[in-house]
Amino acid sequence: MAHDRDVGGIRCLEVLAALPSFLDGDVPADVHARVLCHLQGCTWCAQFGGDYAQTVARLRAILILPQSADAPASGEADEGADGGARLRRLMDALPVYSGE
Amino acid sequence: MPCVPTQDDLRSIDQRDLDDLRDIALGDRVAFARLVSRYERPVLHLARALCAGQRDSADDVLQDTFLSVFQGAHTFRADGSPRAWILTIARHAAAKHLRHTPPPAPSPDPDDATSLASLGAAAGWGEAASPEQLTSDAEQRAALQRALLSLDDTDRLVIGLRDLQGLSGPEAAALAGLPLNTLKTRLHRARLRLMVAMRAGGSPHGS
Repeated sequence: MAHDRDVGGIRCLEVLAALPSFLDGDVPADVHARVLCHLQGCTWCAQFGGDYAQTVARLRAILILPQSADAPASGEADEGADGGARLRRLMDALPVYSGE
Repeated sequence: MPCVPTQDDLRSIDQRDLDDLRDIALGDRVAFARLVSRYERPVLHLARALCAGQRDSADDVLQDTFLSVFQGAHTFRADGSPRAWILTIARHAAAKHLRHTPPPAPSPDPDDATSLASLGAAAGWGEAASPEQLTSDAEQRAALQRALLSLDDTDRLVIGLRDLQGLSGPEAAALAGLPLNTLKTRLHRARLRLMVAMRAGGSPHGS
């Protein structure tokens, strides 16, 4: 095990387990306070928590970038605009007969 | 934000789906267009998640999925769930599409014989400093995509649905066919495995 010490009333391994819920703001207030206190006192967990959060942020920030200058960002915005074109392509690609 | 349909909504949608699938099996293109309009969004989310954010690949998967639905509607069993059937076709279409890309290295046991501590340690937990950062967006993007594509389907799916597509936990769980708590646990471990893969240059095994 890399490290596991009690800082702020919570151990490193518990912080590791709680990290995603903590970042989502999805932990009870007392757990949130203990994790926060731990991160302020444990350099290792603070470092790793930052890397973890940065990895998640990069997934959205980097992979969601439009892939060409005139393409809209992926996600909600382009679905409606592209949807009509996709349906047209699909209808054009359908075989004349099916299920026979 | 997309909303989660209620059980009543789902029952009603299922009946419309059943009716449309029956008509599609007879070659009804209007019924097909209706079905596409209801399922384009979840299929696209699923495809983009499994294709690690590659827009063109996801569009190809969507196209293949609905063509398979049109051609295979007569094989659908009416006692099954149309939604589950369509999403399963989408997963198979994505798997087939990804076989045309460089094959991923074997991924760690998804059920996790590895403890959270061991997995965290492999991802850098407990180290004094982060590895050297890649500089450009292009490098980071390429490294993330390599790392994502090296993960197994379910890891890539849960990361894709939650982190790439930005779906809520319940929405992602419904699409992935996982209980919410399982999705949360799986997502955490999948992110850690992604960090392991990033440290190894895109493969969980450093190859």
